[in-house]
Amino acid sequence: MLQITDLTRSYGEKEVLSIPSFGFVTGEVHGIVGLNGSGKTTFLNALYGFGRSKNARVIYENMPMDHTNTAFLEAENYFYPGITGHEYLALFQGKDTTTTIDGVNELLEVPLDELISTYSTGMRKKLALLGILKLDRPVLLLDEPMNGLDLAAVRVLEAIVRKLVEHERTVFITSHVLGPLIAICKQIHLLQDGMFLRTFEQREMDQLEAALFADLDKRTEETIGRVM
Amino acid sequence: MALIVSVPVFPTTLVRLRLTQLRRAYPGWWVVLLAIAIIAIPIVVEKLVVSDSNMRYYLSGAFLLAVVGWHQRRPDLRFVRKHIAQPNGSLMLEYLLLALPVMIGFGMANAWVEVGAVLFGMIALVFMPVMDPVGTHMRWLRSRIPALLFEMKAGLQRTYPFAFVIWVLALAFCWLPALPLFLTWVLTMIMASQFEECESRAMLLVTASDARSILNKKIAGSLKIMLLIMAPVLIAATIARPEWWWIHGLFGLGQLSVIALAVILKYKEYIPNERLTANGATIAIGAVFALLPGLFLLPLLMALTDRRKALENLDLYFHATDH
Repeated sequence: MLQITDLTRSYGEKEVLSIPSFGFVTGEVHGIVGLNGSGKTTFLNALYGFGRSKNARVIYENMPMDHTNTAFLEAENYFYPGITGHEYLALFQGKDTTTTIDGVNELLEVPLDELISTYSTGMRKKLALLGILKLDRPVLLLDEPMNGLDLAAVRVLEAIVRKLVEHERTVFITSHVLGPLIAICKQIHLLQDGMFLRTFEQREMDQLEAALFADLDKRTEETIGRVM
Repeated sequence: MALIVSVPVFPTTLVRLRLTQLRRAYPGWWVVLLAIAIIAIPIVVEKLVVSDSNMRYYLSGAFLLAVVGWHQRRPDLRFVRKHIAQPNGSLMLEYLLLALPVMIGFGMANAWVEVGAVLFGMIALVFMPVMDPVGTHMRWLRSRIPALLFEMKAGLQRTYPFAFVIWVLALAFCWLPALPLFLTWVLTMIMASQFEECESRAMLLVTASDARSILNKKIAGSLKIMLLIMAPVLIAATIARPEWWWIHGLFGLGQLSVIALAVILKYKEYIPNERLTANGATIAIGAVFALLPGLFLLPLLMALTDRRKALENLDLYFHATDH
């Protein structure tokens, strides 16, 4: 079990995350959805151990959860100039899983011998994914992992995530693309204004879109009717 | 998957990365550059400190200020803290190696307090909280800057509050002989570094109608802003030391040359949406010469030489339909 207690985060006067208590089943894929500004990335950063409130507790299988047992694929990835894909992966010193990474790259087809500056957006995202896979941590946080990926790469990502769960990893994914998320997540948690409003099980996924866009659709209709 | 974690005993990841980048940026003569830095810097530091004992304070303070500023704004800091094993150790080793030639120079000049201060600074630095300014800063000043000069707008935002503090210090200490000039030089370097990021082609094309127009507007506008930043400091310093009017004047021209060089280099190498980190080295070389009154001719010459290439490169993006 991954148990969260008193997880809050504020920027000045504004509270952007407020989770008094929440639990996640480990060894599963959890989707985190919400509109822009709902706190998804802030939540992932807090799980990772960055920007947590002092009295927050995040416990993973009876151990404190932080960056030592978590791998984080950020929505925006940094790449050092002037290095190749191989040299980038060498920065991720987790374990000796060269065979595994090379194997995964057979599917992702990232030209690791080339300079990263020559990569397309999708290739860079795949390279960043290879990096965190190499760390092989028990918990993976994937923030908008499908951004920049083509349809084939999204399918490969789905297969990778399913395999990770088979190996008892816990995966958190945020995404604006609901289709793949619904396909791979055991549960999807709706985050709004920094709070978890509801958790959708597999059988309830058809209600997700309505719940996500309920307020937005109403406001949009009113405003569009007024201005156009 | 097996959980075998191999963590290096000595956190050399960042140092090895920097060597890789240096080798790739300057193939063939990176060793020469490194050797020059390792040999020349200690000698220069030693000679400066021996010639004027006040230089120990200026040099150690300036070095610490520069490294602190870089640490606060280094673009890879989050990446290092998140993904690189032993992040604090890796950062510390990187900073210590960077400071080593300076510390050797101080040691050669028997300035052991300064050796200790720099050493302590490099170790303590990695534990310093990074200011992550949230919110829009200096709104009034930014609103006065034309939209075309977005680099300067971004510079004010990104460097707040350090640049502002440096400017205030330069003004406050205008009565000292060299410090206000040095702090102004730091501001020049800060502003010049804002010209590393390239806007999108669409943004370039809506900014001006042709290459010459955009280059001239950018240079003129940036020089104007730099002049507004420098003028109060140089005027105050001249009031305090009237006999140094020509030094301040030449120094000011040097700083303007560096800014012009930064703008021209950006557009000489302009690639839409790219970050041109390689230009930093060239600007740094020009900036070192601009520190010394009279030697500003070098960055000016560099700027004039590269202006044509900047226009040619920009022309490709303004006129080519298949670029």
